Amino acid sequence: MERHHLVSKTRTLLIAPVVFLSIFFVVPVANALLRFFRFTEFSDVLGNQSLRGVAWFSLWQAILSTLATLVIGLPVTWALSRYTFRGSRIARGILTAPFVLPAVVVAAGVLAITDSRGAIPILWAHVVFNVSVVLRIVGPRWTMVNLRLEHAAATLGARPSRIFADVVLPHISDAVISAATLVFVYCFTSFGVIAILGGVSRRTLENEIFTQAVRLGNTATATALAVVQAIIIGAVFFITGRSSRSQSVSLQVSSAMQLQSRPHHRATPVIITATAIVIIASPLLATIYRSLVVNSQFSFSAWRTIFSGSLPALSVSPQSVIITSLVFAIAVACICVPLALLVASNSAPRALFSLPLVVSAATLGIGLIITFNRSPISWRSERWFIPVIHAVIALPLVVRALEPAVEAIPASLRNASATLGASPFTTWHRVELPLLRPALLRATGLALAVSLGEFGATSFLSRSGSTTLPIAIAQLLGRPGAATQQAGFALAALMVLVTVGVMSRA
Amino acid sequence: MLNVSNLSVTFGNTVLLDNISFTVPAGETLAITGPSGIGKTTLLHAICGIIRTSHGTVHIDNVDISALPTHKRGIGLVSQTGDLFPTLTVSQNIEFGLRIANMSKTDRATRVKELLEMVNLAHLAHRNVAELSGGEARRIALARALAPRPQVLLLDEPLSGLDQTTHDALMSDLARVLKQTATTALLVTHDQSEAAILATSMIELTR
Amino acid sequence: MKKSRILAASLLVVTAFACSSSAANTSTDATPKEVTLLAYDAFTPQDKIFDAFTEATGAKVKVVTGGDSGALISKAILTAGDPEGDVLWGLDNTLLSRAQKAQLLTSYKPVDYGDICVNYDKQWFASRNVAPPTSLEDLALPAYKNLLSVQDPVASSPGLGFLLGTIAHFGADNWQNYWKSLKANGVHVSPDWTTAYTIDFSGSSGKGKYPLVVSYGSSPPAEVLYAEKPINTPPTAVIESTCFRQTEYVGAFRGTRNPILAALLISFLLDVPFQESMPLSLFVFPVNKQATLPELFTKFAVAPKNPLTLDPTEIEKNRDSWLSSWRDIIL
Repeated sequence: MERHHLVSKTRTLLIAPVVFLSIFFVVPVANALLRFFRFTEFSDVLGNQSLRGVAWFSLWQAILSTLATLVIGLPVTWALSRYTFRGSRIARGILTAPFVLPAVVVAAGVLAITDSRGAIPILWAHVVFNVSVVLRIVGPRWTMVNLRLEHAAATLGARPSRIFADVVLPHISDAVISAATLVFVYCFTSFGVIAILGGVSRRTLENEIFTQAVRLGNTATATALAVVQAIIIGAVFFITGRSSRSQSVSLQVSSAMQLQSRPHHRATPVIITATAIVIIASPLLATIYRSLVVNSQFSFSAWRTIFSGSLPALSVSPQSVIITSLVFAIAVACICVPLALLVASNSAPRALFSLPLVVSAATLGIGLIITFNRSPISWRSERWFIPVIHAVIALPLVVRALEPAVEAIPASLRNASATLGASPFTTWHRVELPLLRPALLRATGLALAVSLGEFGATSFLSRSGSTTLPIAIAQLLGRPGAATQQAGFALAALMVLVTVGVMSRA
Repeated sequence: MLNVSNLSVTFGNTVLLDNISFTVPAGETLAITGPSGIGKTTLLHAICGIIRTSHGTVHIDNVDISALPTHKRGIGLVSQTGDLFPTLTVSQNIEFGLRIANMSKTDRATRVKELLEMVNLAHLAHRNVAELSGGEARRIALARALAPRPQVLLLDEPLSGLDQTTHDALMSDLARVLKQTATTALLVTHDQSEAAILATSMIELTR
Repeated sequence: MKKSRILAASLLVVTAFACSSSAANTSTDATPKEVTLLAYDAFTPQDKIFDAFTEATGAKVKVVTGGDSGALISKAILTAGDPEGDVLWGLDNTLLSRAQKAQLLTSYKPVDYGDICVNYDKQWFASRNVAPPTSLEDLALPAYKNLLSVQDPVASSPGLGFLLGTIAHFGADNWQNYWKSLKANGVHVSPDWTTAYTIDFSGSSGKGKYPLVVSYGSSPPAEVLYAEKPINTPPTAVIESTCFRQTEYVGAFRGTRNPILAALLISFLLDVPFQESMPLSLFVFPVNKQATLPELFTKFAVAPKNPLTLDPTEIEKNRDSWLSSWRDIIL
């Protein structure tokens, strides 16, 4: 097979995301590790029985959660990528919305329904969050599988399962592995869900890191645990990275077919979608329910309050919380999407730009506090610092959302453009960017989503009047008083409704 | 005039092209034939700078262009896959090279019209490229490549995969266009009769 | 093209917004006109309460919040000597020794107090004709089996307070037995206050299974103040003998750039007007004897004369071992 050496791309532009990540991620994390890591503590941690148990629990619940997510997520991804039918758009919105929501909301919703804690509720909550990841990463790849290839296979006598295994799976396997890895990492580093649904005996490494660092002030232990966590995650990435192959996929996007045209078993996609919706939407409905009903009384007062009233339990008005969150989210999209595009276009090393996923939020948080504390870089209390950190955290995800689309652009298109006199930049600007438009929109939605729901590293930063939605919701739910809590659920329900709306557009 | 001398392309330990030399006088068409997989497309890509050569030079009108990047060589390419830009209309595709050359809007419109008439597809000016048939797409790709008046035009099997009627119609149009524009052209084909009709001379690549 | 314009426009708007707010919230670096008060998230002082301070001194009070009290102190200790603010609000007696060890503050004074007590759902007990428990010992009785929800003392401040209360009451040698009996009696442990109070507790919005929950002595008035529909009496009450005293301190950071303003602010916080505003905005009792309490508090809030207490140094010395013993018993 011939390899075409393309006219060199503008690799120098890669400097921007690298510098960005270095300043706002690598430096603070390195600082925290250098300051607090002690090898003696590390070996103590490795030998500690109960901590080993914590690591084991983190692992097996993450593996089970990932499997559960794939089992529920892949069929519904198939249904929504292949077919359009009445309600499929809204279904997509509902299934992708939970990604944004703070853990306390989803977990409270699950608890309200199951009325018990333990492994099953944890798995359920994880599925609710992560089916969205499968949809967003595998979905676009699935639509790129050329329908004609499937038809050809069918005419050659292949059964649907055979077609899936031989025609579809090779095309989507990369995306599935990528999605599964991401879901695993999220479940492995799960904090809020485990805190609420795990009961006291079940903790993940992330919970333990937070406890040690923040509650007990044992920074050495916390850092040691963070390193253990990072090693495990790094190993997972390494293993899955090995098994994925880089493939060129044709640009031919098969648009989803109308359900009526499906020859047999027309109900199947609908049933699959409906099942997924029931599993994922019920905790969300519980949230909406609790925003409207208190003491068996139905009332809109909480909703009225969040739009036009004030809440003594919050130091700022709910309206300013909503606006702050939105402004931050837009800022994050503006920062993150261009940077991610540069990374995806220049096939930058996956490892570097996946780092924010590997490192514990608590470690980053601590690093940010001790690094950006003294002038001239005493930025930790600055308002703009928060969206910047959101962007750091969103970057790996947005890159992953853009990569398949970038890779799908055939080299011949670039060549044609070059022979017409277009410099590499002009080719990128006039030919590639327009082709990336759908992916860019999805990536923007993703960046917005991550920013709106971020509650990890940035909760370490102090705020002065710049409270975001997740923090406000946690604060409201953390105070006594029925009206206060109802308002908390109203804000949470607002997040649910808005994101369902936004996600069904993307 | 196009002059290729001692052009070689190696990839690792494999020699893809070995010391190719030829000259195409101005305004003439050279056909390049040979069995499948011999490297005809590789040769075209090497000449327009898409792939790196290990040895040899390319001259256009005695100017050495070997060191120039593709977009500065002034060599047009009509590839086997057409490669029309999917997000642009037919007219926008054709004027792509003209915009880059900073031609004014009116001049571009005139030139686009001229080319569309040349390929007999004036009625498709604002059509979406996804809606074109195979033959129509080839013609538009040709029009697009010719629009910026390239010094040399490379054609990679422009008539392959078409039904007989379309093939014959396109072949006669191609012959007419090449003559009309007096373009120096390289035509890759595996069809000897096609080469005979369209080209003034022929070389064959062998192992 | 259009998309990049929209992008550029939003970027402009956002930058403008960010810059304008940045300008409004300038850093405390040697700006004499501003003093920064660092507090926990739940610090929601009465609206405009600091206006009087600004009038008197010409300096604005900037409130910066960052997590709950435990998180706040931990973070502050990380940068001790190079503080984020000038004055710290939120240090309590369970954290005092840690702060002292790190030399976080140059000085500190008590600014408010409250109690961590078991709250109960009046309705629940009334409707079943059962008398609510009246002491810690009662909680271990079979009559109250499976009714109590407490919080994990490692993660939760009220949870820790309750544990310390039991240690204070039963003594360092006997508290483990008490907890064993609680465990046998089906005590439920929640990871934090929110889960325990808003989900597990039957007396609040969550309508949970547990009519007994560890919370604050000031939770009943909060239920009245923030009720869905106006009510006159709270649906919950407090078991006084279970109360553990929590004192909060305020102090100036070591390394503050505005020591004079910090001192002035601390005096302001200890003065009558602010102290009187605290009960209904922060749900704590004032230390200033001259401050009068609002009616809601005198009627429904509980602050026993002789609550359970422990010496802060004792707490610091033994906390880790107490916590791991607790873990071993309960888990």
